[in-house]
Amino acid sequence: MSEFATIFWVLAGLTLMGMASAWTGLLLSLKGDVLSGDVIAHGVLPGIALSFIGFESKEIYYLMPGALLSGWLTLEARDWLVRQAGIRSDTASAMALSVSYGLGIVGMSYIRYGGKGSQSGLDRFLFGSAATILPEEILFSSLLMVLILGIILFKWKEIFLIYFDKDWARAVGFNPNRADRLLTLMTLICVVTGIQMAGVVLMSSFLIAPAVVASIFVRHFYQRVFFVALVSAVAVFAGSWTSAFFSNMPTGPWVVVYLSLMAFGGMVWRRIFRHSV
Amino acid sequence: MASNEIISNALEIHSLTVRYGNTIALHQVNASLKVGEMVALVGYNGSGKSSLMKAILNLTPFEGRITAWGKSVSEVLSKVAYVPQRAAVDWKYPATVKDIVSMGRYQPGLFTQRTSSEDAKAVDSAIVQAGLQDLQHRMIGELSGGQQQRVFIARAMARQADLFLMDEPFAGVDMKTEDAIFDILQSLQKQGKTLLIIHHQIDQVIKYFEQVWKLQEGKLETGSVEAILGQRNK
Repeated sequence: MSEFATIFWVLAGLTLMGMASAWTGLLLSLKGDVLSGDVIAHGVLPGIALSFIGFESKEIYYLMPGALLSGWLTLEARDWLVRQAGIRSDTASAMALSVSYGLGIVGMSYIRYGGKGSQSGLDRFLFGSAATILPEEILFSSLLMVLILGIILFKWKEIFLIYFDKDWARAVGFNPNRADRLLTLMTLICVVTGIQMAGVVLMSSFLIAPAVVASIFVRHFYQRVFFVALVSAVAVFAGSWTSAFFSNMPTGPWVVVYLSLMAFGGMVWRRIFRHSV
Repeated sequence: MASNEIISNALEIHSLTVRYGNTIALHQVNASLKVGEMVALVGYNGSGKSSLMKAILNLTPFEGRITAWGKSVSEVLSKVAYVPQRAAVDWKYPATVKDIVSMGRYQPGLFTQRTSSEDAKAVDSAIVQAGLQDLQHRMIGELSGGQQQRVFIARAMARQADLFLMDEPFAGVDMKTEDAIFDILQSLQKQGKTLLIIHHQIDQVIKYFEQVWKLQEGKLETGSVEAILGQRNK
């Protein structure tokens, strides 16, 4: 594949992943549970390791079911800790994600030293490697992203209502639990498709950072829907350009750097102009 | 005769008991609300006021039977409007006054929510009735406590319901706003709506209401303000 074609595919895949993650993160921020993105991102690692041990393949199609299951179980464990043990949500999130990440690292070590073949290639799930992604994997990710965009398009009003006032929503017949499940599914899909580009550690930035930047610059949810997509696309473009221009520069981390710069710039701008959003 | 009585009542509560583990919040409560009545529900903190309202709305498990116009409340949910406590939500939510009032028109069970011209009219009418015309495009986080309370009432009015259940709509508002909110409630009553309103300040109940439900240690007394609170309306 030519260098231009590689850049095009990386850019297309990252843009789609970035925008869908940004929208999902925006909905998570409405729910007041952005940490669940981080929990799921770290929670998929044991599933990836176990799937690799089972199938001995690094292709996303083989790793995805295990990653989805493991990410979901980690989030369930977090919610169980909150419900049954009465632990605060942020503490439970920290516990669940660190335990799951630890298990994932144990699995990766077993693969590396336990004679299960080369771990090379699995590292991209830890740190992300947008350049190694294949066009068919981007196509697969794109279809999942279209699914997420469809959910947002048709269900955002219901989600908007439910996360403003869950008791009221229940009182008039809506089902907040169903909205929670839908949002969990969207987060899982975003994380699992995005993790090979961004890595478990940085994936939560793709979810959270655009919503943070948007909350600094614009106030209304409708404006934020457009703004997070714009922020995400600009960061992806800038990150990809930096990665292509300077050799040995990773794309995902640069995208996160640009997202952080935008958030920091926004905060300075708000401070200077005393503009409260 | 008995069935006629049930249908003439907007709300009937029979032998209602609510438990939280081993604690009994409400014990064998019986009460009814006639169509067009406006009743204050009073009681000390922890007396079970919110539990009663949550049981009516099926938000908490209960024993006994609750009906609205002779049917289970879940069958007539579209005719029931709920105004929760203002402190129950995050007012920094990225929404305008009109967004929140519009939520009153959303219907559960639809693939997607669309806004018809009838919905738009109901929302505009609720905004006008609640006196929020000048604030309708304002972000909800910029509103005062009284204005936020009126947004909740407008959202309930947009449902065009017949039974209103309100959890402390007067909490934390100044006297002027209190009068304004009471005017809204009175106009709802004049339209034939039935209202059950949790209130914690007895002097205001005496000022504004004629009928009262008093909860004490999980048991309910009902009657006129004079009979239950021992004071006449001012």
